[in-house]
Order: sequence, then structure tokens, then C-alpha cells
Amino acid sequence: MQPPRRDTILIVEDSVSVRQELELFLTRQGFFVKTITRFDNVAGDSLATAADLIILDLNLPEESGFAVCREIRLKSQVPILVVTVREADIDQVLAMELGADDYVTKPYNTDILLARIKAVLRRIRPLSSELLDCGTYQLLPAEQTIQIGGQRYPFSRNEWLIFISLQENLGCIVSRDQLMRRLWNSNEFIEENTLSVNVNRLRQHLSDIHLMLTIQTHRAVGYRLVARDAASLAEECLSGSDETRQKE
Amino acid sequence: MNLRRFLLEKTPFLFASLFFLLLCGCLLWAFLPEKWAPALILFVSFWIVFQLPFLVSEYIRKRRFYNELFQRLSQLDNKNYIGEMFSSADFIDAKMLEEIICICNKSYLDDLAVYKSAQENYREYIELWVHEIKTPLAWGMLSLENAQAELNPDSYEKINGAYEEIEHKVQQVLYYARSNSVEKDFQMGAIPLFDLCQTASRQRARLLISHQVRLSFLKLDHTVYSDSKWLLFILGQLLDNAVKYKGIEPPVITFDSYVENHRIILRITDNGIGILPAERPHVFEKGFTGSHGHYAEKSTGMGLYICQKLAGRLGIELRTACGNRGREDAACDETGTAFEICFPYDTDRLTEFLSPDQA
Repeated sequence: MQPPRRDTILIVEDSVSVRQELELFLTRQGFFVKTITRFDNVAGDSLATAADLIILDLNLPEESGFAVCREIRLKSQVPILVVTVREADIDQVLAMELGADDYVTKPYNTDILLARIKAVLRRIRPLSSELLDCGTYQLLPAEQTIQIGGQRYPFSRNEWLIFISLQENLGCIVSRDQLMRRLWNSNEFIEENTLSVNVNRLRQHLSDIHLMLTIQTHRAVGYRLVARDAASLAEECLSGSDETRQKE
Repeated sequence: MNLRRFLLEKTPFLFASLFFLLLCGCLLWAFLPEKWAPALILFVSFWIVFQLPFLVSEYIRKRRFYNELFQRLSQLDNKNYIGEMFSSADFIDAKMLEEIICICNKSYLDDLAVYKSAQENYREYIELWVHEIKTPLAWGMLSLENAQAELNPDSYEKINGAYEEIEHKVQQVLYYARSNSVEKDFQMGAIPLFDLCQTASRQRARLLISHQVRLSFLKLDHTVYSDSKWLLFILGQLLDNAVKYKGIEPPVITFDSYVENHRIILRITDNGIGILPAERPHVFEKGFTGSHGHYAEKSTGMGLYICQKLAGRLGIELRTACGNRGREDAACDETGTAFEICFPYDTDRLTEFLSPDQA
């Protein structure tokens, strides 16, 4: 899934290894990523990149991240997400007062980091405009609704969370644990059995609304969302439903 | 100081005086055989007039000085400061005693300062180390995330689980260092119990999901006032323990709260192997692992000890409880462990003092 317009994220981080991995991670998540490698004029260089969001590490070699944060904020309203190993409350309060938009402590759970980035970006854009065009269908995350040819189909919360997780990894297997964690992170503390029931309900739902996608069950591994063409349709009829039954 | 001890100390002087008076008596008797008795009475009177006032005044001065000193000593929380509490005395023993105690105290306080600063340095180093170790941790976790597609899902889950466990153990070191420090670096705030329990569960999501733990959130509509980070750490340790000491049945962890004696009690119950009633009083002791501890993986016995210390610093109580509420301890069956965190209820009134936007 690609956002309608790729957001540019600037990473200000002095540890080369963390910077490279974060860059790779965010690029794969569909962001356009810039980095700076010299730290003698962080604020100026940062503003020059015209990024949509700045991920700022507080421990920088030349000057303190706090100073950078204040300097950027004096000249621009660009969202700043502070990422740091410091986890004292006072650092957090100080960073927020100097104009940071959010604060994540290292080592971060990548799901949480991504959620925070998206939340900050969403804040600078009106919610209603968020409609993700995926070709034959459109997603409206705010309403947990899928739109096919002008017709809207709302999903239940759990169905939606599962669908989004699978849809973001279209064609790849998503493990059951990963799906569970996604639901848990949204405070839906479901059990294994409930997950199976929810996946089955979602599969039925997708079939009911004639979406050209279906969920494959990979026993003992997880699920995969794939395009429903004639061939896989036939395959699903033969084996897929059997697998599902065994899983339950 | 009483009269007996004073007189006992003055025995040599009193004997010397007696001997002197006896000697005078003998001499008077030898040289003034007819008037020796009145002369001796005169001598004794002189002795009484010139010596006794000194004795009495010495007794009174010393008695006053030492009694005052002992009284101050008993009132002092830190007895080391007695050197600073001497009242001015006009006799030499007191002055010398004061000098000696002051010198000893100074040497003691110097030594203490050395250890204090050594401990403080160590704590600072630990905090710094924890911060330093987080960078490679973050790097490793990100690399793993990026390499997910190339790994088989099982290895990915395992490595990720290992990283999370390392992170939690590192956190434990940090909180241990903090639980010993004098400074209070926590921040109090309003915490709805329901949010607290959900956040704690989310932080342990991977662990709980991989052990197929079922969570149950019962009545959790109270709000408590405390430091959320420290509380999350304590809950995290309790969840870790619940998984570590799970039983044969599928694990279930229940969060519940109730009010008891003006306190809000948050109760976390599991259906694991439990704690033997005899060992229940010892679970918070440093290094205690219990007989059940031997069945599970090796434990350090530090987790609950640190939790208890942190709870003490936060002014809340952390205790074990009977698996089935309302039953006597003796009636407790061995299965299942319940921990209770008791928050003072009166802090609810804080809302009255906070302005509406803060509340």
C-alpha cells in the first residue's frame, strides 16, 4: 500500500548503524527518507531538507538535541519526533516544551514507532482526506470502511485490524503471533481461538463483498492475503477450506 | 549519671581525705593531748567548708552535662551528629571528650563520604551503561525487522523475543540502581487502572502471546495517583513471573480491583504453580527463589525484591494474597498466585486540588 503522496522523513541520528537500519526500515514502509551525516549545523541542515517530519536523537555529538529542537521550532512548524535512549520524565517534559511533537524511547518497538510517526503526520493533515486508493478498491481507515465502486462496506474493529495487517503485507505471510500483537497493540486482547474465528469471519466478509482478495491459511505459520483469480479460487475450493478446518 | 557512680569515682579522693583527717587526728592527739577533740572537729569543719562545696558543685555540673548529652543522644535520629550537639562545659573531661568525638566523627564521616560517592559513581555508571546498551539494542532490533523477509518466521519470532527479554532485563538493572538512590526521580500523575493494566499487557504482548496467555480484565474503574513508569515496571515483572511459573493448564491472568480500608487494591491473579504458603512471606526477599523456583528456569530472585523496594519508595504496598479472595491463608490451595498493589485511597481527593484542565 502506498500513501497517495510519499512523506519525507529526516533522520537525525549520529549512530551510523542505527541510522542505516532506520532508513531502510522507513523506506520499506513507504516513506521517502533523508539523513544528515554532519552534525555541526543540525538545525540549518534539517530545515534545508524540507522534510515532512524530523526524527531527532537527543544525544548528538556537536550540540544537544534540545538546542536543535528549539532552533528548528523557532523557524519552522515541521513535526519533530524525538527518539532517544534517555527515558527520564524530565527529558521528556523538556523536549515537549521545546516544541517536540512526540517522544519515543530507544530501543523502540517498530510497530509503536511507526504508529507514532503516522499519528504525528495525521495531526498535520485533516483526517477526512485520508483515503487510500488501492486500485479496484479504496480504504477509509478513519471509518474502518472499504469502498468498492462507490459502495461502502464497514468492517468490525477486529476484522479491520486483521485486514489492514494482511493488506500491508500483501502477498506475504503474516504470522498468527504478529496478527495477535497487532490486535493487542490496539487493546484487543484476544485469544488464539478468537483470532481463528475473526479470520474466518473476515474471509467470509471479503467473499460476500466480492473483493478480489482472499485469505490463505498457512498451517502453523500464519495467513496471507492474495489476489483471488480463477486459479486460486479453484485451489481454495479444493484445499484452502480443508486447511482452515484443520486449523480450527 | 547518678550519685553512686560519682562517689565511686571519687573513692580515692575520699579515702585520701579520710587518711589526711586521721593523720591530723593522730598528730593533734600526740601534740595536744588535752584539746585534741575540739581541734579535730575544727579540722573536719574546715574540710567540710572548703572541700564539700567543690565536690557538690562538680557533681551538679557533671550531672547536668551528661544528662543533657544523653537526652540529646536519645533524641537524635542519626547518632553520628552528637559531636555537634555538645553544650559548652567548663570542665576539662567534657572538652576533651568533645574533641575526641569530633575527631572520630570526622574520620567516620570522611569514610562514609568515600563510600557514598563510590556508590553514586557506580549508579551513574550503571545508568550510563544502560543508556549505552540501548543503542546496539535498537540497532539490532531494527536490523532484525529489516531482515524479517529473509528469515524464517520462527527464527524471527525467537530472536525478537530474545531482544525483548534483554531489553526487560536491562530495564531491571536500571530500576535496581534507582531503587537504591536517594533522589526521587518519579513523577506522580493520575492513572486509570484499566489503562495501566492494558499498557502493561501491551508491553509484554510478545511474551504473553507466545505462551498463549488469556487475559481477563475485570472491574478496573478506579484511578490511582502514582508514577506510571515505575508501576508499569512492577506490573511487567509480575507478568514475567506469571509466565515463568505457569502451570500445566492454559495460563490465565486476571486483573481486578476493589476497595478495602480506604485503599484501592489492584489484584493480579494467575493460575500458575503458585507459592507455598510457608514461603509466601519470603517472596520479596533478595535472592529468594523458593522451592518452585527450581522447577522453572534459573531465577535470580531479584525481580520481586526490586518491585518491593520501588513500591516502598512510591508509598504503595505490594503484597501476595491468597489465590481465592476471602478464604483464610491456610485454606489457600497451592495453585495460582495473586499479587496485590495497594494504593492509598485518600489520594483520590487530589482531584479537588488540581485545576480542571490538570484533572
